[in-house]
Amino acid sequence: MQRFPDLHRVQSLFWRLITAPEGVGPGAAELHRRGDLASEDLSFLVRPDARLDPTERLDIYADMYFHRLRDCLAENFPKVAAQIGDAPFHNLVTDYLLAHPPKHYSLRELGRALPGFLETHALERSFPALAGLARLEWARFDVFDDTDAVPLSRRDLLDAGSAPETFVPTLIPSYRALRLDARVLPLWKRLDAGGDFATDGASKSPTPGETIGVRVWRKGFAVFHRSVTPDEESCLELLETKGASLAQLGERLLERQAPGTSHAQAAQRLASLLDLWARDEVLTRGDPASTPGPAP
Amino acid sequence: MTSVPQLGNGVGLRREHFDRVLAGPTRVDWFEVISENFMVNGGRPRHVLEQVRRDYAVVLHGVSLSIGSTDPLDRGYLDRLGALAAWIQPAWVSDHLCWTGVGGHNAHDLLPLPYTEEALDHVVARVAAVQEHLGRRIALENVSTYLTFAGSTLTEWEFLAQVAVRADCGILLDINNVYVSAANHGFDPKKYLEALPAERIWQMHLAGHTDRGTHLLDSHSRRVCNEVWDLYRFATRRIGAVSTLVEWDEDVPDWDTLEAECLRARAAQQASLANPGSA
Repeated sequence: MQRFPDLHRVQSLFWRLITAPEGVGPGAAELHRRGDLASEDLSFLVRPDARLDPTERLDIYADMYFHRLRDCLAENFPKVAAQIGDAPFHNLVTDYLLAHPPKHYSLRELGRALPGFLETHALERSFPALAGLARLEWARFDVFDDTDAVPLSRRDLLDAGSAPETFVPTLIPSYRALRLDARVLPLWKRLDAGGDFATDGASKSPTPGETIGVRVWRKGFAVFHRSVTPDEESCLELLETKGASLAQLGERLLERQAPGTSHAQAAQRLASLLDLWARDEVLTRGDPASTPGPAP
Repeated sequence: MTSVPQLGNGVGLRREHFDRVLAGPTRVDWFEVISENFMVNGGRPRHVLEQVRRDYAVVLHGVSLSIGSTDPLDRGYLDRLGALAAWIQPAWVSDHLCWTGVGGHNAHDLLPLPYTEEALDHVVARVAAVQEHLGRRIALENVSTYLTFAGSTLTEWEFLAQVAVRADCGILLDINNVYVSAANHGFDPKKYLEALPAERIWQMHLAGHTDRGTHLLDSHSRRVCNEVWDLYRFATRRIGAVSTLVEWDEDVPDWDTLEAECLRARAAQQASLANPGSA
């Protein structure tokens, strides 16, 4: 019989046993095979009784560990779970937890790496655009409780028109820019008809490899997403990177328009974008300390 | 030791009831919130908590302190908890007498400790460090357990009592957890309750559990069972009026059902105190 170990060894063994992918019994066998346990008999660690042996008692914790985390991921990624079905989702979670065991104190962070993990997972071949779907779900989840900010109103932006060189808006913290497989938004719509989002690309039949820009943001306490045109995406990128004056945004638009586009046309496009952004409440005042100088 | 306020009868604040609670008024006296759910930067959860705090006392109840882990204390976590406490001014802060991870991992589950002198010394030292970091005393809750470590040399109630006395912290006595563990390990739950230092019990928890055949599971998924109500009355007669909270986290019912369970706890407490000799 092995001696009862010290507290650190107890916890290390406990952790390895309850997170063993095939369950505690096979996990103990593996530890024994590696020489980490003198035998597969776990009665040196856990008292057996008439109802359950040590392996079965540890399996209670193994089940709770896996099911709690699976349920959390299913809640964070409901469309991914619905798209692939229960058994594949169960297997996906098993694979994911082996690659990304939870480390953060909050369950909120558990799924952060799942979209990236899916990009190279075999499921992505069976379910095209699955990783993009996960990225969109995570972005929506991630902005839900991100930092609050006072949005700029249309009035604020109209007033700023008198100082286009020095007024530097920036994007609210609860904003995310994504570049997604173009099949994601139609898939989203199929999975959630009548959702709280606007999309202008859902009716197209995207070709494999085609990508689109999508922005995700929180307005008040509600989360939205929508696809963006290339010129809007370019301006938002400028805003997101370092903030941008209205004059800089106007120049960026002029660069992006077809040859021959006039300043007046670019200004008109900027006005319509500012109107849209004000309505969506995605702009806030930039940090004065990071205000850039006049555009070169 | 300083005394803590008697808050009356409360429930755990869950998002399913945010709208109802904000619509007010309710018949509950206070709310307990899961600390980690509000360690976020903004959005609706914090807005709701701020609104609730204007009308009710709030207790912060954590699940990731991992007081028994052999990993170093997570100072970032403690800083965040301290900031949350400074903002929301809770009646007190509590967590669980357990560990939740090792080797930098977090199981997000309440894992059992061996009841040994080594574990006792370890936990006592860490409670002192946490209380110093937070600048306040904390309460620790007994958890439901599903195994007994072969090396345990103390009973669970001896371990809990000694942690509380030696670390000078409070006890959050979960009556359902006492009942579940007693059933799972075959001890007398009344003996457990009689062994605890009553003056250190700041709060009690009530919850439902699930019978899995080979063991009881602390599921928080149903009403408090009659046996746990009986044990609660026994505890109240011994300990006196202590802030009591009903937890319901799975298959969360409508507000009226939850509130009724809270009111039942209030009535049970009042009846026990009025008739200390009753069964």
